[in-house]
Amino acid sequence: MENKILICEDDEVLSSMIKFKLGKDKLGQIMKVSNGKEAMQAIEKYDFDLIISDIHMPFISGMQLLEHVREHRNKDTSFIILSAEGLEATVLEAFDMGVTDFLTKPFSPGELSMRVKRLLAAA
Amino acid sequence: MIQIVTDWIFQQDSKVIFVLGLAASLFCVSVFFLSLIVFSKTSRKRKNTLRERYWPYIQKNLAFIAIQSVTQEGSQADYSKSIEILRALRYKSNTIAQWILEELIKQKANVSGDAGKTMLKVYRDLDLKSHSLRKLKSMKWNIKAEGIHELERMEQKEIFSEFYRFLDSKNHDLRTAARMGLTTLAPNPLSFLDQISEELSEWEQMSIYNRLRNKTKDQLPDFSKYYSHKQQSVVAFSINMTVRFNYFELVPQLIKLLTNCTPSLRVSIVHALSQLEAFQARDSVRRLLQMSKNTDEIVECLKFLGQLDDKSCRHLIWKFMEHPRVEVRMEAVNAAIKLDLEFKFFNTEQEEMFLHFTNELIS
Amino acid sequence: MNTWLLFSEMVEVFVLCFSVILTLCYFILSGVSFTSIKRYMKRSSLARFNDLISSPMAPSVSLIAPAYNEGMTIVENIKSMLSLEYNNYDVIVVNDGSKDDTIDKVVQAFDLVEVPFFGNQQVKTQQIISTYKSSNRAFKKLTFVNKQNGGKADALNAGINVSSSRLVACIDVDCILENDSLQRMVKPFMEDSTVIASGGVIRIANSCEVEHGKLVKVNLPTNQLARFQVLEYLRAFLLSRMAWAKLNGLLLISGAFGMFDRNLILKAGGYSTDTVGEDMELVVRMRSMMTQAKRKFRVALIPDPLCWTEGPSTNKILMKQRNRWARGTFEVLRTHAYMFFNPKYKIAGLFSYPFWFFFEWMAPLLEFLGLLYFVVLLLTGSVSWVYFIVLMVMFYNFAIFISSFTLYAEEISFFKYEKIKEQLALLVAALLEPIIYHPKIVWASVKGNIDVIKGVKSWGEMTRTGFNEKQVKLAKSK
Repeated sequence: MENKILICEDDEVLSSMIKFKLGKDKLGQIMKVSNGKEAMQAIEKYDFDLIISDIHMPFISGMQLLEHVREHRNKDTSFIILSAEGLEATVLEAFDMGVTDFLTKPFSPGELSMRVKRLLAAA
Repeated sequence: MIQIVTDWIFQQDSKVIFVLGLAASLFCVSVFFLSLIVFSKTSRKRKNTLRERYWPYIQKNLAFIAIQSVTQEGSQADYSKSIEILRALRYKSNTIAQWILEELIKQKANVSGDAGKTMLKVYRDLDLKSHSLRKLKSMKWNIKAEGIHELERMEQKEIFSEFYRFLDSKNHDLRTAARMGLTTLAPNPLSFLDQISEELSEWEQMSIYNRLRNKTKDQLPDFSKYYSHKQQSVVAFSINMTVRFNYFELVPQLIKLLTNCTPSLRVSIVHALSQLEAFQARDSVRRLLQMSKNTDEIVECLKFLGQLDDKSCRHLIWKFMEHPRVEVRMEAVNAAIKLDLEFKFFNTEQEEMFLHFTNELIS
Repeated sequence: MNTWLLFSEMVEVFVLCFSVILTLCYFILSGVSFTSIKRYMKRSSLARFNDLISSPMAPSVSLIAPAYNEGMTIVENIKSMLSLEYNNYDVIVVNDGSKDDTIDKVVQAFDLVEVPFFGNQQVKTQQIISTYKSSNRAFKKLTFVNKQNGGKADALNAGINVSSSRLVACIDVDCILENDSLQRMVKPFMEDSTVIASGGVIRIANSCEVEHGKLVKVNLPTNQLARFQVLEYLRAFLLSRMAWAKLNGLLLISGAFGMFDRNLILKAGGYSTDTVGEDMELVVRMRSMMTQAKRKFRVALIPDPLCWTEGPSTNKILMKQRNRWARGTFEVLRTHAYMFFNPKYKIAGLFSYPFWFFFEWMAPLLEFLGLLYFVVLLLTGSVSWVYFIVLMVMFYNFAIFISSFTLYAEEISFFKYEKIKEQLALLVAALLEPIIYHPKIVWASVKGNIDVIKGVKSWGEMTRTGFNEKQVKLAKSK
């Protein structure tokens, strides 16, 4: 069965890049949303195997999304956070909240793709 | 009709005419503002249609180029095709060129590796540098500052000398932009500090530090040379940087500075010394603590002594547990606990503080 | 009869002078605010807020939110407060002796455990019963303080005591903050070491879409009363407060969202518990403290729409709120009457205070007296109809001028109401406001002033209405 991946990123170019890259590497079915509100709606509707989310999004932040997923939805969903800041406090908080992986921008799309592949294989 | 109105007006009292005039002028101003709103709306709408039309092309082509180059499978032909589309858009209008440039800046901060390099290549191939350089010649300060920002973000190292002339601009924000541009691009990043006469704001200090973090240690200046700067904020900043970049070798100079400077600087020096865990400063800090009347200073000194593993300071610290100021008492108890956890409190307040701090220590 | 003529002549001259000065003041204010907004927009487009949120040098901030009987929404609100984009802040929620299940809900939702805490009383407050922290590290930013009831100001003071940050942001717990609100409010403190406080702009959240404690879509309220308030808030913040901040004469930072230097609040003695206008009182007191200490200072205002709050949607609650505001204004102006035209206090003493005195406090009373005077004239049959109508037209045009300027200022700055339909509705609201909405406000102010004068005799019986209206509101929205 194909994996379902959700990309939440308000930067349209970046999210198309990620989608393009993951699609090219045939990692699964990819859906992309551009803010926290749409992400919440998407999560209500479908069961994703992996969520890649920016930490700073309009309306609802990546952390809030993560907390929602961990509390109300599937606990095993892999969750990768992308963040422009890699301060220790932020990273630790994210892992406390149960994030699977944390990438600091700028990151290489190739690296992201490798990490996604590993996470999906492990699940 | 007009005749009737004017006749009527002339029959009226002067005060009526005055009020009527006032009303009419207010009415005119309102109409003026309302028409400005309409004007602003139409120009916004025009811009939006332009964006709706061209934005998808920019987005698609940039994403395509970035990823194609990473996978190495893409041929040179793919790249040239996309870059031709982008080039056509770039020369269509300044607005579109600006969009592309902003997008490249954003993506450069988002992606690294080959995809990041490709963004720089696109920047060069579209000659967007000239777009920013033209902005430096603008009459408006904010356009100039924008140009500086753009060149800084795209790391155009060779043009840093262009920024020097903005260092004595009358506009504070333009000055700041030039300073930050130089911090990122110039070979000796903080040279502008020598000529600074006004306060270096906390915001600027923060921004400079953020830029210095991306540099290697040999690119950093010798911060001790600013310890004698006449601008207090620059001295405070360089003390802070000494701590942030862990210059343990500057501790002796910091201790020397402690004896001749203002109280507010003394606070930051003691803070720096405790961050650097400079045990050799123990005697100077003890002396300072015994003489000081300034609450902030006492608190910082107590913090410093608290983290030294030196029981000989115990009695000095205990003295401050009776201090009239509550923040001093609190810090004294905190320091005493850090020195020995077996510490015996004398009254209920100290007991409460004790519980408070031990709980913090555990969690 | 002659004295009567003289009297009426004097009244007319007074009315004329008053309105000319008022118009002049607003012309100046709108000019100042226009340049100030333009400049702010330019500056904020240049600022790199990413630098701030990724910097370990960001100053520490405590978000202090007093809560009283907020059980229904508190968990959602706290979650929203915990997820703001800022790296160096904590959240202190002060339960001001709620009678509902506020504590249980919060304790359960965030796995709180009681921790020993040293109750340092740098500002004297009602007793703190217990303090909680979360055992879940994901919520380690949260501190929950349970104290005996003492009113909003007292709860804020308790929060300020508990905090150990450099800055404190005092907010209403039911406010919806934008994600970037802390970054933006902190900026003035970092740019200028003389800034002692910065105020946020409050917007009306009625009919807006709210999900997970965050505002996800801005809508113009469907309720007409709330629409008038949208216009009124825009006017108050974009026109007058923006200008006063620029002139460094800002006297009021709304209690719904303001940020202060913690040490200075403590030095000033915290919020005053014996006024209903505690937010304004604090700013005025801090100003006068700084002036007396002969220190340079500035009170800043951030015009971005950062804090959204539900405005009253029924006449009854609106009247109650405005009554309280009028009492607050009166009390603050009376307490700090020494500033009136006092050159020592510079702009604040020479302009802001008199402006508040004449145009914020006295104007509604004068309008009311004017109406009474008109009734007397009507009864004696000596109304000069032409003059009366011309005067009314002038006042109406004045109101329209202010509103149209405000709409323009919003158009060139934040542009939150995007749809043409909403814009037209705002315009209609602007045209109707002087006739439908304004008289209500005038009446509420008059009643507030009467209440406060009556209340002088029985000072101790003053009831705190601050939280009651929220209760009604919650009951309605759920």
